Amino acid sequence: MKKLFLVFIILLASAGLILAEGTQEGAAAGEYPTKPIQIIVPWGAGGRTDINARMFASVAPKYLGQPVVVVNKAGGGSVIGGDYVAKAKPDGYTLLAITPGTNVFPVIFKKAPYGTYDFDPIGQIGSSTMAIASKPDRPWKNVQELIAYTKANPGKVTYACVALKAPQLGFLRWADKAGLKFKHVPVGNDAEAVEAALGGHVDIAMTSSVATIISHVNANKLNALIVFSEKRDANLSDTPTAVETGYAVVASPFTGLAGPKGMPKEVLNKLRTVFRQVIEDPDFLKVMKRIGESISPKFGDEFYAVWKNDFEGYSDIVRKMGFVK
Amino acid sequence: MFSHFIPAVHLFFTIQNLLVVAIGLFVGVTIGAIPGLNVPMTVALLLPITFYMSPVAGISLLIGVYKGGTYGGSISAILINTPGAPAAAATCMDGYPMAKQGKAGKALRASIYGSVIGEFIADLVLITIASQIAMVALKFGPTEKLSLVIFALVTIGVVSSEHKLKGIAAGLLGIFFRTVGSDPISGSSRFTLGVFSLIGGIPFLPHLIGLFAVSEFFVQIESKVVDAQRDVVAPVSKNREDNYVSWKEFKQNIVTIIRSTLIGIGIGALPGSGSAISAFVSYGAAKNASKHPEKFGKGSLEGVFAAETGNNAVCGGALIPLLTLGIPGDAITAIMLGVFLVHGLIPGPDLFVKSGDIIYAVFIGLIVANILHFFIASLGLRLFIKLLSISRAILFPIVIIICVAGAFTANSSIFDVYVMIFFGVLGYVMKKFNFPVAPLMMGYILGSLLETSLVQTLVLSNGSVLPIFTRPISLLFVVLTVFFVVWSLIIQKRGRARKAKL
Repeated sequence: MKKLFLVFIILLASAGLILAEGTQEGAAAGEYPTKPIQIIVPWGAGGRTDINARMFASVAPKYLGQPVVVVNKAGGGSVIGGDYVAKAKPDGYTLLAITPGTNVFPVIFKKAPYGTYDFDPIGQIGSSTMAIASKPDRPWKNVQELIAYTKANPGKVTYACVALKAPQLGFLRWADKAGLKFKHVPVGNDAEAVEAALGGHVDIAMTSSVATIISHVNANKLNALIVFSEKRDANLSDTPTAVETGYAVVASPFTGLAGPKGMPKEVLNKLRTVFRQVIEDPDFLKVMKRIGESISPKFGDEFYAVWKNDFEGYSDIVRKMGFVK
Repeated sequence: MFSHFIPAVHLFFTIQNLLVVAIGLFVGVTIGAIPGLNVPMTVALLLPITFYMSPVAGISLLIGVYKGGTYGGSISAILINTPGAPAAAATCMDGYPMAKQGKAGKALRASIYGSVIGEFIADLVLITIASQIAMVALKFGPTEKLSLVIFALVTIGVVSSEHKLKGIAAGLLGIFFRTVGSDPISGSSRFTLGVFSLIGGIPFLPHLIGLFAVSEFFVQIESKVVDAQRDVVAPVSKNREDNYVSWKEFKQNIVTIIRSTLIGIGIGALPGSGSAISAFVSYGAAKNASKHPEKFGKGSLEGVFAAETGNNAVCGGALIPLLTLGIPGDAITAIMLGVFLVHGLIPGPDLFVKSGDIIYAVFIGLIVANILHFFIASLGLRLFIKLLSISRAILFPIVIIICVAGAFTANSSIFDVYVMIFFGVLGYVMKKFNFPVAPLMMGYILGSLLETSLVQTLVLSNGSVLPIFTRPISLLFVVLTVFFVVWSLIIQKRGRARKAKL
């Protein structure tokens, strides 16, 4: 019995492998696309980027006429999957579910094997709202008081966030404009930052998504001080944006779709058209709503403008702070 | 609480929910038992399905997989010395020797009893005093975590082998392997030897499969074939008492079970630790408290009870920070957080007020899952034990293929397969020279927590390590560590003295 079962599992596994490999070959003749398309997710299965990509992949075949396969290539904070796509053949059959980490990496590491702009933007599916929050027992209740306190005690106030990714760089851009000095406590992810702030081990949690703090803010366990989006967040309507504090920084970690640089014009156009069709598809909107994902679509060049704004900001701060390696 | 109870009963007891829990458990046990397929991956792949279920059904499904998977790892650990899941690494140490003595049935039953009881108590604790425990868990800052990690590492190094120095050396090697990749503070790459694939560090799953399963494969190749026709994995004793856990044996282990459960709940409630750590700490504590520490590692029933109770109690414990604070403690609860969010339930302080019915329905699901777990695992046992009568020449090649497929699929990367083979060879060499492999894996698992909590402690204290000794919870662990080392040395000395007398 068990033996039979094992054999069955192996057959399944090998069939999976063959299918995965099969997408690499195939004829190039005819109008794009003539074979299945792969979307590389540079994060593990089950994360936000992965779910977005899978939802996209479930609807896209309707407009592409070809299946879309999601492949996870996690590691190095989205760098390994990013590198894979940057070096893939720019034929439109290997795409990347892109998040800022992939493009920020070459900004910091001179020796990175690919460049920040080695990708052709297709479109943005959504973005999350970064925010900072403190426990109510700290000597400040809002951002003005925080600024005043930090000016009086430079380098004393601690903030926890993931090192050298969008959240830290976004926060430092703001702090730099405001002329403030904070002390960084590196953590592994957003949840750990929130945990450290709730436990009173650090003064501020910097998180890449307000979803991690809303419940604590509602329960008065945390004060949300700033959001880094363009407009105030619907769930945190009392919290000012960084722009409102007088030190304008807009940075919202995006989830989108990109391909390797140098895809043929007609392929890129086709992908952008299909992207728009999927994003506006009622089925897609329905599932995304169901899973609680807000969609803020940006198409083609609009998406590219987001990259430029983000990465120029990041480059400046990275140079200023001496993070370049 | 009781106002939510009646509607919760109505919410949970539907055919669909019961079925879903049973399916989840079945899938979990199967996946857990197969080295190369892991629970977080399975949970992630089931996630999209849960979007189309009611929140109670979706969460119950994942809870079933979580519990079944954490238990399932013990099956292959006991039968073929390869833990199907990291949590079962400690189970190998006594489970496999028991199987070799023909007592596989006893070991597997101990694993079921330990797992189910550990889970049950942990679930009760979760239901009754979750928020109080969460408040204590929040007190664990970087310093407390640092001393806890040191305590766990020392425990593991000291108890997992008779050769304490070899155990500690293996643990240090594991910590070293964890430093490969980009460092968590400055992001600089370390020890990558110019290999870009290593920038994300040594991938965990291939590392685990290689170290345990592939190395065991090499050991098996080497072992002599006595009779090609009947060269089975291990004999199964015909004696009834070797295949069952007697009431007397169970009574002797009650203290171990309760101790391991408490350790499991405590470690589960701390985000960032997990079931593998809990299993080892429970194992170490059991060995130190045991009347027969010399039997550990040679087929001690106590050892199996300790490890298996310790790792399954974590399931209930890990849900504590998830539900009360919205902070997931491990990869699996992180995915569960997704299910809650998808259904518009935001875990955290106001969850119990806003969605009390659903949460209590989930609690009922937890208890029902325990009961079903017992029956499904007991039924499966009859099947699994047949594995032992398969010829090694057939079983091990199959296992190795699953291992290669498992190492490849997680990241679709052939590099990961090389990593698996590397650790397979390393594990084999270590086994040849009597180095225990489990501390290496634990060093690897704990290495990042050790490094980040050390760095965080130093940043917060401006470069001083004094907080380890001045903060009360941290000091407690330092004292425990010292006590543990001294105590195990005393035991060893006594054991030697006893041997000398004989």
